[in-house]
Amino acid sequence: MTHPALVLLLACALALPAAAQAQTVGPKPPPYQPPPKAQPRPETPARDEAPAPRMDTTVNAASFAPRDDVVGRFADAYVRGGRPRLAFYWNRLLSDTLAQWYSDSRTVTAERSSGSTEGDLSLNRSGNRQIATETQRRTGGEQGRPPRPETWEWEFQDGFLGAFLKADAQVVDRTAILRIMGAGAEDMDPRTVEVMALQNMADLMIEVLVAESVRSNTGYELRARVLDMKTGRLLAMVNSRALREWQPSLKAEATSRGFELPDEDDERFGPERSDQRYKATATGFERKRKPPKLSLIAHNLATNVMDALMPRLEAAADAAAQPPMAKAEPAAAPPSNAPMPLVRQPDVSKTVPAPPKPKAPVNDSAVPLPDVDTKPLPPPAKAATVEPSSPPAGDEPPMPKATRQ
Amino acid sequence: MHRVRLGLVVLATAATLSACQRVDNTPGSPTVYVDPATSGPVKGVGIESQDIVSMTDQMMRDMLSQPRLANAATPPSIIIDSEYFHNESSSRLNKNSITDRLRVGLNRAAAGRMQFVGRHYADMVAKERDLKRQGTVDRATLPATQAQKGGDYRLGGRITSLDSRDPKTGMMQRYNQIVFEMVDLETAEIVWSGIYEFAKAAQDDIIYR
Amino acid sequence: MKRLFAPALGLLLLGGCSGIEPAPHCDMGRVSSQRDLVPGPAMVPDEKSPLKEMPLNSVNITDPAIINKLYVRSISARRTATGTVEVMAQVVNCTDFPLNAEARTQFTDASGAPAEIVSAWQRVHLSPRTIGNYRELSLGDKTVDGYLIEMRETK
Repeated sequence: MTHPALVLLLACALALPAAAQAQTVGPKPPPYQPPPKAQPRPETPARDEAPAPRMDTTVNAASFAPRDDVVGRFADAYVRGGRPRLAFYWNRLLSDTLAQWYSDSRTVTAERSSGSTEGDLSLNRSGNRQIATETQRRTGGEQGRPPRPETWEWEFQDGFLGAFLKADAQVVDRTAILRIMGAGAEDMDPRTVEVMALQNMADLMIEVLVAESVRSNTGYELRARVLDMKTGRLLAMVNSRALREWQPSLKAEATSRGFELPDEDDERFGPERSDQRYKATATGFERKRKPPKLSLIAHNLATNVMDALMPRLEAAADAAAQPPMAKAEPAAAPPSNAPMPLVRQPDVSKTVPAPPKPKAPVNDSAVPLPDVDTKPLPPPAKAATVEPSSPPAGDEPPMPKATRQ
Repeated sequence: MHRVRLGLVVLATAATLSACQRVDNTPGSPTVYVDPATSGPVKGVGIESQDIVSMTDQMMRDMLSQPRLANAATPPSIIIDSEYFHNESSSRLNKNSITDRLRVGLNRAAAGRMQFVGRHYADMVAKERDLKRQGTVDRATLPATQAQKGGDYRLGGRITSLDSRDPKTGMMQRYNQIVFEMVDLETAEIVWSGIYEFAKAAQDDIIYR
Repeated sequence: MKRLFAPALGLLLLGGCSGIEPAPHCDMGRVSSQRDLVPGPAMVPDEKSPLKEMPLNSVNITDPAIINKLYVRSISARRTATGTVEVMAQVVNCTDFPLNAEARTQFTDASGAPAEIVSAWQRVHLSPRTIGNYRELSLGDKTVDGYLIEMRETK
């Protein structure tokens, strides 16, 4: 009885390895039938709702692309306005200080001596001597501004002037007119020469200033003013901070956390590239949020100055085109706020012979003169000997003339 | 009795012979190579090779069963890279090992059902395009295109984890969750999602480098 | 011998009446009897292979550690909307302990050859006396005609 059990045990032991695998058979996969192709985006049923708000694409859209239309319109208005000569002040304020040198102290040394000698030869001698010593300082910090790198200025001027030169504007160089006007009058105060030059060789002065600004994404902001050099009238003023192209984008920005609206107290501003270029990198395309090139910013400022100046030029042209009845009848003078002709006097005199007014100052202004008696400085007499002023009759000596250092 | 003995001898011989014909069910020679699809001798609670193999395989197969991705009338252009696949877990991990395996596996298996955009080669392509257009090199053989290929869908996702440790025993447990999503690059619609999650507990965490 | 048989039978019957065992009731004897290894493809044409192959379209538990613990309840296969094949297997944990198994699928073509790379091991967590589902999708569509699922215990 024990032997058959042993045999059975042995047989089971032999069969055990085969039991280490077990399986359950399932169905065969159904035969393949090409499924219908899926649409990339299933059509959503139309909703009877208000139309979705339109996307505002006007903000900064192509704002820094060259605006040739503005340049073209300015060119027309500029010709109609009499082609006033433009002098540019690059990062330089027109100072209100009259002389380049000023003094806040002076030392006066007075010496008075008298003596008499008696003898065979009688000689009466009396003398009076005054010595005035004055310390003068050059006025600084008003006209000159913190300098920008030279290459920065080149690029800026290139972009700014390019627009005006393209409009065939008469651009005069400040340094050149100063040198021309001041040749032979070296003893005159440069500021006087400067005003003379501006009055005689330019009609409009365009002052372009650059100021550091931490809130601007460019690190600076710009201001341009257009002044009439005959009357001092401010014709146009453009501040980059107020320009539409420099306004921060108020659009919600897509971030990794969703869309983020700009902070209400965010005072940052600055120009942005209109195209928002993407640069190919090793991780894909990355957006480079750099401000536009300086030349484009300068060009944009120039076209905005043109925009601001154009109404003046066109109004002046319209006024000049009116029949000269107003001049024939002084009683029917236009209101004071009416645009006066922006045409320079020689042009007007060519077309409309004005009645002779020998006493009235010649209105050589680039813009119409209001009822202000302005007297443009005459150009200095060239090579004229500058006579030392005679001492005044009083005891106090006159102020010494400015001397070069 | 004699016959029984004879039978026993026959059986014993048969058993011995059959043992000779059986599979040598013993371990093979030791080697440094381990199967990346199976946990190796170093086991921790972080994401390991078998997890990467398993999750990418699972996601790949799942994507290929999604009609909008794998059975569209026009094969969609798909970007799969780690640019928008964020690791917010406590595991130190190179995300590219996941996205690369997924992209390669899908590209090999798709057989034209999907097209893949090598966005991580954008600079390489841009450079060559520039060289061709500048005339530095010739135009090669393939026709020029207006621009590099755009994407219809792009992979996004996130790896997150939750760690817990028993201060008495030093036992550490980590729950790992990996989310894969395919996003329509025009509408931001998520057209496909996949999740892979697991939790591991071990006496002490190993160091992942 | 006969004297011992009766008490033994009584004890067995008593053991059976001791309590109600919850489902599932896994009859491993019947499971084992349903095993069917089939002759595989011939290594040499027109000659029968000595290898007993696993049948196609089946779940094969290859791990002796769990072979008497798990029971494959059902297997199904269907086509997805893209034409790929989806196989599903329901596995029953017959024990009173949690089990971690893992499975992978080799999809084959009509000739029985692998149609694509084998899938990665996918874990199936089985709580005591519960049913776990294993699901796998093929990569290919028209090339897939069969499958083989292997299951083992997770180490």
